[in-house]
Amino acid sequence: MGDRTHLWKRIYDRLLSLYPAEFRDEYGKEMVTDFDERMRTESPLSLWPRILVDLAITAPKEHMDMLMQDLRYAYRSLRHAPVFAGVITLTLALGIGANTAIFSVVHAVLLRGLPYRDSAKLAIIWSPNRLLNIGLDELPTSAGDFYDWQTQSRSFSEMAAFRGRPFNLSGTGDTPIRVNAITASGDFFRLFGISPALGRPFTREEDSPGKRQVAVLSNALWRRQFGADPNIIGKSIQLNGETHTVIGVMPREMRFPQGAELPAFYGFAAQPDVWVPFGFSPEERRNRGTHNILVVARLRPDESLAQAQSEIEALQAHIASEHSDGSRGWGAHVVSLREQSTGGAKHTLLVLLAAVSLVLLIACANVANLLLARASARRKEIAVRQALGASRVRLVRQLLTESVVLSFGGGLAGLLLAAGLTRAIVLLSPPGIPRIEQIAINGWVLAFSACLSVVTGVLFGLVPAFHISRVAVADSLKQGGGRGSVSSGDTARRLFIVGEVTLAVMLLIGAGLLVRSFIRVLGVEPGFEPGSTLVMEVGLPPAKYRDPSQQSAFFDRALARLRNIPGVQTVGAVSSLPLTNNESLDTLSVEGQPQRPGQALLCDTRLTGGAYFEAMGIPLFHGRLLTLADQMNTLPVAVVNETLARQIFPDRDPIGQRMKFGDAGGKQPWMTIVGIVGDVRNTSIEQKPRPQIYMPYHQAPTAFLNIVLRTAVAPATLTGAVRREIATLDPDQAVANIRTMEQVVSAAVATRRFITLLLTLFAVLALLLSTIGLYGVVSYTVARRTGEMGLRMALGATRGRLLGMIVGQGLRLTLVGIARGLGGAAVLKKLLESLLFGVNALDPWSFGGAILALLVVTALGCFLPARRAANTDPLKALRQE
Amino acid sequence: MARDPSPEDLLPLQPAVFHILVALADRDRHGYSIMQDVATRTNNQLRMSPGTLYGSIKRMLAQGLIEELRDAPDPADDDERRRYYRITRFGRRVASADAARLESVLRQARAAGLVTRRSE
Repeated sequence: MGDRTHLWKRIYDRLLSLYPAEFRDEYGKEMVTDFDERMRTESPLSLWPRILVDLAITAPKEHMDMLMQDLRYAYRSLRHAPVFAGVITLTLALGIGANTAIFSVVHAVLLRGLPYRDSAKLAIIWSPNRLLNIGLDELPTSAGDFYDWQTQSRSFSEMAAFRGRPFNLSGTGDTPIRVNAITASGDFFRLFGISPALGRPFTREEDSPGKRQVAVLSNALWRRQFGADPNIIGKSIQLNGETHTVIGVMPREMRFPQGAELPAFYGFAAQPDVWVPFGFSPEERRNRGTHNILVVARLRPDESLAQAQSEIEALQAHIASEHSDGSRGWGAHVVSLREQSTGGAKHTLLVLLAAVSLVLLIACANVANLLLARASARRKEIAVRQALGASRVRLVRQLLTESVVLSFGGGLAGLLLAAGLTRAIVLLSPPGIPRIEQIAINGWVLAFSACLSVVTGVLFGLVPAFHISRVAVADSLKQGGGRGSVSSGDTARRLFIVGEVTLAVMLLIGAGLLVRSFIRVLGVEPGFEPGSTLVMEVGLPPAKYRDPSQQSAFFDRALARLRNIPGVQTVGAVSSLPLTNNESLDTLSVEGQPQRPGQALLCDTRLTGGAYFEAMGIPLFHGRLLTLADQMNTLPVAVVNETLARQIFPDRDPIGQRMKFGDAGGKQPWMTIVGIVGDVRNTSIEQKPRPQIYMPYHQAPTAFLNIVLRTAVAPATLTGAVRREIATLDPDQAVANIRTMEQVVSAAVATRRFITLLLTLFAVLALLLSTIGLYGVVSYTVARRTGEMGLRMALGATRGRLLGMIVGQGLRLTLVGIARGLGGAAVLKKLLESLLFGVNALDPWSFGGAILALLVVTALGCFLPARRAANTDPLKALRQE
Repeated sequence: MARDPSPEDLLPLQPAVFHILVALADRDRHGYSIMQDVATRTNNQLRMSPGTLYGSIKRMLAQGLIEELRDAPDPADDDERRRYYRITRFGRRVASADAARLESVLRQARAAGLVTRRSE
């Protein structure tokens, strides 16, 4: 019996640890004694339930009580130091605000799931081709391969194919507009599991030649173009001159495919406007020669990506062996849609996230330093509280509460900052970041910044709190709370400064490297002259311009009319513009040069017309340009770029040489080279031009061209005149995407500008914060050493020497930090390598610049307090001591 | 510190607080004795559990309603593990103010015919 009572007592004693330590220390012993007494008179069965209920109610209450007391105390003590509290709040607001803003972007772009049913199971299947040897796996699929996959693959429950095409939408208003249409296989919508807001999606039956004239509108197009007409279902619209019946309107969240989710060179528009079924004929369904559709699929619930990959790979190998004519060399590569849709932006965002967390660490170190300084000033207060019986745990908790209160203040202010910063980021953001429009300060972001506030509060509060609570009571009281000797606090302070400088150096070097890369990029000769150039897209509907000669005739007339607009100097046309990440790659055979196996000659082909080269400002080096005389029935000709001439004809004159697409024995006609022009950066500014071929559109007619105007007046002023001229030719014809070539160039560097700008901003912030930190520490040390300064001066030290001594001490800390930061820059190298352009990751200018900036700014930060110290009157200083 | 709040500031008292004051009104007691006294006076209807008791004591000390004694009132009764509490003058004023409040509440209830039998 006695044993059992003893056991109960021990259990109760243990349970008391649920109360705050102070409460336990104060009343724990008595509570156990009481419990002991009650055990004698009451049965455990009636006692324990009541004890447990009491514990469950009163323990949280005591904790709450303690917290409220700490908060009240924190509030009171901070109210007496408004400047101190203000500086800390501001510092933290900068750190937390920047982090919250970047996190809101990361959340919207990387973390949040896609808005489709069970979106983790969605995947894109690419068709890499090892024979092409172009270093690119994300290639489209042929209809023949796709329909085989769809019927034979067992890893996927659903599979659909799609491609993007600009359509002319007319008959809805006065001017026809170009819309971004997605043509897709019949299962497309079922795969995503999104039901329409109105009407129904198209079906498998409608994916056939006779029934395909139905359309599903995007929510945005429905609102924009049809005024959100609730009776739209069943109405007819004209798409590319063909009548389509509207059968459905999608909800807002259906936005697949967005341009930013897929490789940019596919040229998908930011958002689709309308979906229509493929309507392939049986013959088209068997086509294996043309790779122009993309495949999206849903994995079976129990299937992993790796399993699906090996299954579809084996299947494709089988298909390729059966259809060795068309499918040879083509494989299959499964990528989850989520990975695919964030791939491009992921790295940029992770770099920014890394940078911004360094800024927060610097802010924390700064605040910790301020708290340490204040801690020294509060020694007496702390000692008194200790003498009055406050335990160390209690003191640490009290001090931590104070720092968490500060960090919450910082967090709130930071949230305001983040709201503004987020808006700025959305405005500045380059194309290619998917779902950027969904960035918002939502619950997740709020939770993030709340967590960040607590974590930073504890992070910067912990060291000062422990430091201060360790102060021996007697010591402090003896010192009268005045200036102590060099203590561990000083060491901590120095370490913080060194750490801050280390991080700041890393950020500055990173920003320096990016800025230098950006300058290099801006200095790249793109191969054309973007000034005074207006460009626009014209896509002719095949239903109306069925005959190739009709297409060429339209463009001939359009170019002629546009040339007559006052202010226009020259006019040309090209199938795709430079710097738009658009390439049309073909393999090439050269007459008299047998092709080495496995080494396909790849070139980028563009169709041109009118005075394209003059309009774009591409120089002719040799031979002649393409003219109106080069027609369907004349000798097939081509103009090539310098790179092609140099690579393929290193030892002879390319003019007069003949080449053809595909195999030398193939059906394609031989083209004779008539001229050599300058290299043009077609994909991006960063990428070196590959061999390029320009052909006259008369010899390879096309329904889609970009028209290029070189103007004598400001190019944007001609927009209206251009539209009018096209409308007189064909009132149903849309002109899309009118912009200046300068805008095209600017868009091409937008991502780089974005990340460079933000990283520079963060680096400057880091520099600023660490300088403020150093300034604070030097001021504090100098203030504490007033007496010593006085003594030194009395003993004959000159002002200059004192100044030098103090600045020197500050700079020594900076130098240690710089040395460490240089080591840390090795980490940076890995992270930034893919973002650098024309700059070595150990670029001496970036490193030198960062070091110099830090030295100059921190020297200034030390100089101001040093001058104050050197100006002290020695007599006064000594008297003070 | 701003002390001396008027007794009315603390009204109405929590039942536990009121009962502790009543228990201490006639003599100084330690925690367990308070608990027992309250239980006896309420016919075991109010049995204060330790968390409630000492939590209330902690707050009452802070409010100046009671004070802790250095020594046991009766040396024979002195128990090392025990701490004794005494009601302060302020505590008495607060307790009687609350008692008066309760009495007036009771009067009103009676006038409204809510109390059938006169309680002792």
